[in-house]
Amino acid sequence: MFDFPFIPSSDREADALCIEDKFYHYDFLNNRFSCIAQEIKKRNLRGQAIGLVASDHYDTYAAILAIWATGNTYVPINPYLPSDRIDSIISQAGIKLLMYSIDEVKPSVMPSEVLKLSTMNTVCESVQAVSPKDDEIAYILFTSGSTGTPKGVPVSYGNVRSFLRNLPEMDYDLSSHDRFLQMFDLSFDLSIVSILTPFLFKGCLFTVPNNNIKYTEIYRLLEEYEINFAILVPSVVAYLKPYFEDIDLPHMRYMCLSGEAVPYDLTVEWKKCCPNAVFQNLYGPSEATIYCVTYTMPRENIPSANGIVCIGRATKEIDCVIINENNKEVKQGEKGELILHGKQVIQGYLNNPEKDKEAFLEFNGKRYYRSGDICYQDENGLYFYLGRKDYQVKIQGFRIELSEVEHHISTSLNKRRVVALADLDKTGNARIIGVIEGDLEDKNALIADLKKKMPFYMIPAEFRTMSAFPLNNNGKIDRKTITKIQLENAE
Amino acid sequence: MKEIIAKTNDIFRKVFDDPSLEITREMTANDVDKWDSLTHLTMIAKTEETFGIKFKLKELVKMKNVGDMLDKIQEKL
Repeated sequence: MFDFPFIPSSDREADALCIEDKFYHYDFLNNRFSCIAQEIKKRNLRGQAIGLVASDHYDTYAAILAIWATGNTYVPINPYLPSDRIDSIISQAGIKLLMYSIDEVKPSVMPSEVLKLSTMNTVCESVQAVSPKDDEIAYILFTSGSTGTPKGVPVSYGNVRSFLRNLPEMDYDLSSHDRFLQMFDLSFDLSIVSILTPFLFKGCLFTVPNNNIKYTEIYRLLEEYEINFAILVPSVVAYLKPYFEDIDLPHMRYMCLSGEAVPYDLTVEWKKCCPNAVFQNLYGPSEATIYCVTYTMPRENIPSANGIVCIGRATKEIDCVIINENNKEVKQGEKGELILHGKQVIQGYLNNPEKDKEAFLEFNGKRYYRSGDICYQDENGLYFYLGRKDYQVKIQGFRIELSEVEHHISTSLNKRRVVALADLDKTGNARIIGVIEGDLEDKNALIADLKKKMPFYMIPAEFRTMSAFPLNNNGKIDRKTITKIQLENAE
Repeated sequence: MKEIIAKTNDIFRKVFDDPSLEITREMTANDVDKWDSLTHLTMIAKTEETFGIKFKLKELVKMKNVGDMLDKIQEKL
């Protein structure tokens, strides 16, 4: 069983972190952790939201563990985010202390305290981890919200503990000799498991630098350092596909694909590059804490539906049901929306009762979260993912509401009508196309304006125009026809 | 080398959609706005096609900036 929160090992010999080819031992990480925890304790912070500027730096990782060990709430803040978004996160989360290492952010209203981690003491006394109650909040992540404001997903210590109770059942044979990849942006919850797993097993975590082209660097780390455990989004694997013939990763023991639908064809080919690895598909929305339906794939004959690998079975403390449009459970084999109940499921969104009403429902006297994912269950009890119910897409694993993209483009263009479509690029990865009614005179000015409001991954890869949008019988914009016209005319 | 630079500059301008872009040896993906995973893939493919060469993944990984790529192109010609 794993405790949460916990104190990192203080082993003087074992590697804890590898950042830009530089190794840091556990005693170093443990000391940085203690210094940061002391600073937090000095300020008498307990149960408070602490903002952490996410940098590719050892103090970022030490600080996450320190925020938890002192019983506070970790809120990652990406320095590349537009300032409006950073302001919104700081104010919505009620951040009391903002910590940073190498990258700074300049919100319009600074939290009451700001701490530069490199100015702290260098040797510090060790601290004891507190034991927050199950309903206290461990972290808040912000995802795309349909109204243009990021939506806070508060995950409690109890949610994380429930998540960790599944780890023994994943049957990972991992130890301090193992090497783990952490490829995720910290605003993405797969980073949480990519951080917890190495530190719980006392292995070494390898970070991927925050540059524009991650896939070549990911491959370099996997190959050069003989990484054994990696969670990857399939879109990264898709970028490597032209080079599969050159790739041989015999040291890979656990290859977990997550964050997006896992394409069957890609998986079969990728398996040949990792001949000794156990392949897993990890499914789940942030609202049900990282992943809540998992599948360890057989060596051959991987079950799939519509070209997507089976997502498997619910984790120990999750109850899955598939319902129809009338909120009634469907028969086995029929498709419907997957709803989730259990200790991994969050209580609700951050100060957003309206969104709670939409996203949660009472079913058989229990509270369920609506995943928005269309699934079915086969005769063996395995779940299969078929697609989204709404206009949400994933770009490189980031969850995006197309309506938020439309909202920002429309606002930039003086309330013109806009439709954002999801399409696949030539590598088979999702991309967004912005379709604008009327002419687009200055594309570069529009992009520059959007960059002030949305993170880079939400900005459409391409813009198109239509003189007038077709309307359906109800007088609404006919998205289906626009999709058909635009995507059939694609290059 | 002059010809390699000129041809590569053309490729960069087209792929990254910036007619005034001037490549330098020190330039990296962080210096060019539209240089991301997908455009990188396109840029590599166009470079391979233009010069009639093929990069190995290990070679791509070792290229830290535009200068490294220009040298590699020259080596392969």
